[in-house]
Parts: sequence; structure tokens; C-alpha cells
Amino acid sequence: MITVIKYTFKEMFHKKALFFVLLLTLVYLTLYGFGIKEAYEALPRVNTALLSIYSEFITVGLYFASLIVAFLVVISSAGALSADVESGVMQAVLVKPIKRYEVVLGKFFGIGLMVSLYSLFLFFGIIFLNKALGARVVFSFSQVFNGALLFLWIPLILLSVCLWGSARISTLGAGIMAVMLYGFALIGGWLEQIGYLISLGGRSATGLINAGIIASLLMPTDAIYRKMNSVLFSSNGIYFLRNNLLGGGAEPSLYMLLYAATYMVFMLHMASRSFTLRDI
Amino acid sequence: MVIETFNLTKQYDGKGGCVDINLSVKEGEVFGFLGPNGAGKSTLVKTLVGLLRPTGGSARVLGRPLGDIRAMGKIGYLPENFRYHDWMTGLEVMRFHAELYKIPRPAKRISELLELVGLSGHEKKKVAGYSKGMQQRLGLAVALLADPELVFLDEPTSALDPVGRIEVREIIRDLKKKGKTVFLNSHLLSEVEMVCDRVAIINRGRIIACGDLKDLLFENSALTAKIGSPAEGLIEELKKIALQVKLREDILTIKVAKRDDIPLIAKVIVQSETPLYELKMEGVSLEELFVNLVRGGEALDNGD
Ligand SMILES: Nc1ncnc2c1ncn2[C@@H]1O[C@H](COP(=O)(O)OP(=O)(O)OP(=O)(O)O)[C@@H](O)[C@H]1O
Ligand SMILES: [Mg+2]
Repeated sequence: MITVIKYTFKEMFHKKALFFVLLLTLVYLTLYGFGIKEAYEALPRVNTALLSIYSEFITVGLYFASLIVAFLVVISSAGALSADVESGVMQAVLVKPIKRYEVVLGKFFGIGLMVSLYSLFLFFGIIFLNKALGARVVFSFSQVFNGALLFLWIPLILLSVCLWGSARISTLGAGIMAVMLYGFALIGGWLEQIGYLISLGGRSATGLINAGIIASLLMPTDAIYRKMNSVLFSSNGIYFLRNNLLGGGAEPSLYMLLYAATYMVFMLHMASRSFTLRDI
Repeated sequence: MVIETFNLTKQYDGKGGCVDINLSVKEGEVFGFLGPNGAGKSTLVKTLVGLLRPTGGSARVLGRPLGDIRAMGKIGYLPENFRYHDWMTGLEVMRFHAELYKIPRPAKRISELLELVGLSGHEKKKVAGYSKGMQQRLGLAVALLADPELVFLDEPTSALDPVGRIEVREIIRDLKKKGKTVFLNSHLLSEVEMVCDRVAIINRGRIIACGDLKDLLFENSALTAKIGSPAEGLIEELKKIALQVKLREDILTIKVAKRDDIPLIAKVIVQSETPLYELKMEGVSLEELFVNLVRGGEALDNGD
């Protein structure tokens, strides 16, 4: 399995898509940095209520960063198994003393490692830009640490889904399926937030909230993103983040975290199973 | 037995593939597996190496069930549609596969094999830039990497030049000398005739002939004798020894069960005082045998 991890990791460097993503990242960070610089300079420096504005800029930055990471995950993993089967490379690999689940897990850890490094880079890039450009927020070590872990967990969940698709169906099919599920999760997140905002106003919006929960069950990425927000932006029980479409709102429960962990393991299990049963 | 199959069947949605294959391949032999396009040769090999899941029957390879990890370490396989990671160099491909086989310190073995298949000098080039024949040579080197006890070669010379074909033949002979077992898929009959001990012929998914190559050819050959007018009772006398006797004008065609029956036939003819002008064995080539057998079955596809 170590071999598969190693070569999967190496292979990522040979994909043109990776450089495209890196370019995208640089463009994004530059634009984002420019944006917050201008914004923070325009802000008056006294009002403590500004804390929530800084938080908002950070969470928006992380939101779009997680979209870029998701893009990287889909392009690098939708074909991780299927493309090798389609090209015939897999035929020579699988007749070795190696179990098929080892190949699946090897791909998961190989791609996962790369994606995690990349996620960490983006996460700390965004935090650093904000600090450097004058956001007056203070994070404790544990906030940043847990926030970073949650941030890099999001693409790993998506990765497990992509691998299941890749183990069973074509590269294109797996890619489309993963993008759709991820899209559900995003839209579901918005619906849930809208429902939450409406219910703050005293009206009931259980339909919207339920739609959001169902989307989170189909793909718990957005729930983890909101958990990350609440870890990053609350201290002493006060949640700084204002409610908007992208964040804030109801904090996902511990059960949601457990669900997300089970979901990822289940997806990997199904990927291994499908791959073991299929004809190459 | 190195390979034993029991009614092994692999069909695709109930069609094609290979059906009810019963084969046994002994240790140290070169086994030729022949058949027309679409007969099911590659399907059987891919099933034996664990890439395809059988839809019926069972099989043992190196004494273990199909796809068993412990057997896989001692098997080499050259796929029909060989492709290797094109972002690696030839050398990296070899290293990668050596790691998958868990070969400790493979450097020496790798350079020997690259030399053997005629790729030394190209090992630093990316596989993407290899010609088809070079890729096939690389595939052969990968198949031999673990010094396997059993090697499956699915049309190993399909992309090779004439010299390459001869080299592969020599490699196969060499493997045999070292006591390795080779399972060779091919429709190049002359090639098979030169290296194989035993063959099976498959058509439309089913085995239609199997056995020692010499026996198969012999069974399908006949003895012809040019004689004068036959003495009374000669034909009856011959029929006691031979499987089949036919007389057309002055030519007797006699099928015998074994080589040792030929002198007996000669003796009977001479003793009957029939004039004998010529006696010879009319052999068939593997090609004639193959064409006869396959024509008997007709059609390319086994869509049953
Ligand atoms: N993946 C597949 N799906 C459906 N049918 C298949 C598949 N692979 C092979 N077949 C069918 O199974 C039969 C046997 O194919 P196979 O590739 O084993 O033939 P072969 O003897 O190796 O032929 P060739 O000499 O052309 O290599 C053919 O009728 C083919 O159409
Ligand atoms: Mg074939």
C-alpha cells in the first residue's frame, strides 16, 4: 500500500491540472488579499463591532478556498481508479501480490496527503493575509488547530465519494456525481441558513431547515465547514460571525461530526468493495 | 498441476467470454492456447490472473484459488493491451512493479531484464515516448521481474519486429529450461509450433482440441500407401490394426493410433503379397489442423 501511496502522490505532480489549480490559487489569493486590504483600510479603527466584519471576510475567504480545494479533489480523484482501468495500466498493477482495497486506500492516502498539504497552505494563507493586512482578530492556538483540521477534513470527505464513483463507474460519471453531491451540500447549506434566519424572525421554516439537513446527510461537507466557522469565530461562548448565507447560523451538532466520520469510512469501504468485485 | 480449471466459465452478461474450460497445465511446460479472434483466449487468461471474476466453475493456480495473494507473487503476466504509466520512465516503471512485488534490492535484476528485452539505453526515456514494440518489450520485462514460476503471455509478439519475435521465442525456451511454466496465448501458429509442448484450441468460447502438440498433429495425419491391386482380405486385415482404412484407386489411406503401428501396417501389406510402391506419413501442419477445426465451428464471435 505504501508503494501505491508513494506513486499516487508522485503522479499528482505530473498532472497539468495541478499547475492550473496552483495558478488559480495564486490569482485567487492575490485578488482576495487586494480586496481585504482595501476594505480594512476603509474601515474606521475604533468600533469593536467590527470584529464580526473581520470574521466575515475570513470565512468568505475560506469558503471560496474550499471550493478551489474541492475542484482539485474532483479533478485528481474522479479518474484515480477508473482512468487507470480504462487506459489498461491497472491490469499490470492488480496482478501483483496486493489486495485491491490496498490500491483504493493507497489512492486515498496519496491524493489525501497532497490535498491536505494544499488545504493547509490555503487555510494558513488566508489567515496570514488577514492578520498581515490588519484584521484585528485573535485566535487561540486550539482554535486555529481545530479549525485547520476541520478545513482539511472537508476535501477528504469529498475524496472518499469520488473514489467510490471512480471504483464503480467511468471517470466522467464519477466526476459528475461528486460535483452534484457537493453542489447539493452547498445549496443545502444555504437553504438551512435561510431557514435559520427566517426562524430568528419568529416564523417557522422547518421545511428549509430539513432540506438542508437532508443535503448534509447526502454530503456532509457544508456541515463541517460551518463547524469550522463556529470553532474559529467563537470565544467565551460568544459567536462573532454574523448570520449570512455562507456561514454562521446553527452550529452542527456532535452527531453531525460523527455522521461525517462514519460517512467517509463507509464511502471508502464501498469503494474498496466495488473495486474488489469489478472486472478489470 | 500448475493450473487446473474445472468448468471455468466467464461470460459477459451471459454472452461471449469462455465457457466450461477444463484444462490442466503441468509444471515446466510451455502451454499454447490458440483460437481465432474473439474466441475467448484473453478472457480465460484474465480470469486466471484474477482480473475477471468467473461466472461459473472454479480453478486453482499454483495450488491456490484465483487471485490469491500468495500465488500472485509468483506469477508474471503480460497483458494483451499492455499500457504502463506514461509519466514514468521505463526504469521507473520497473522500479514501481518491483516494489509491488516487494522485491528487495531490484536494481541488478532490473538492468538484466532491460538488457534481455533490448531496452537498455532507453530506460531513462518516458514511457509516453515508447513505440508500441518498446512498450511490449517493457511489458515482458515487467512480467519476468519477480522471476515467476508461471508466466502468462497474451500475444507477446503482436507488436514486435521479426527479430523481436525470435528473441521472445528464445526467452520462452530459456524459461522452460529453468523449469518455469509458460502459458502462451497466440494465433501465430508457427510460433506456437516452435515452442509449445502442449496446446489447446478454443473456438467460440469452448475448447475444441487439447493435448500434446505432437499427438494432436499425429492424430490428424494419415499414412498413405501406393499399391498394386490389393490382395484378397488385405483391407480387412489392415482394419484390425488401423483406425480407418480407405482405398481410392491405387492409394490406400490409413489412419493409425500410434507411431508404432506403422511398421505393422507395412508388414501386413508386404506379407499379403500386395505390391507396395510407396509408403509415407502425410502429416498436417498445425495451421491445417487449426483451420480444419475452426472451420468446422465457423463464425468469429461466440455470442451464445
Ligand atoms: N468487456 C467485454 N464485454 C463484453 N464482451 C466481451 C468483453 N471482452 C470480451 N468480450 C467478448 O468475449 C469474447 C472473447 O473475447 P476475448 O478478448 O477473450 O477474445 P480473444 O480470443 O482474446 O480474441 P483476440 O484473438 O482478438 O485477442 C468475444 O466474443 C468478445 O466479444
Ligand atoms: Mg485476446
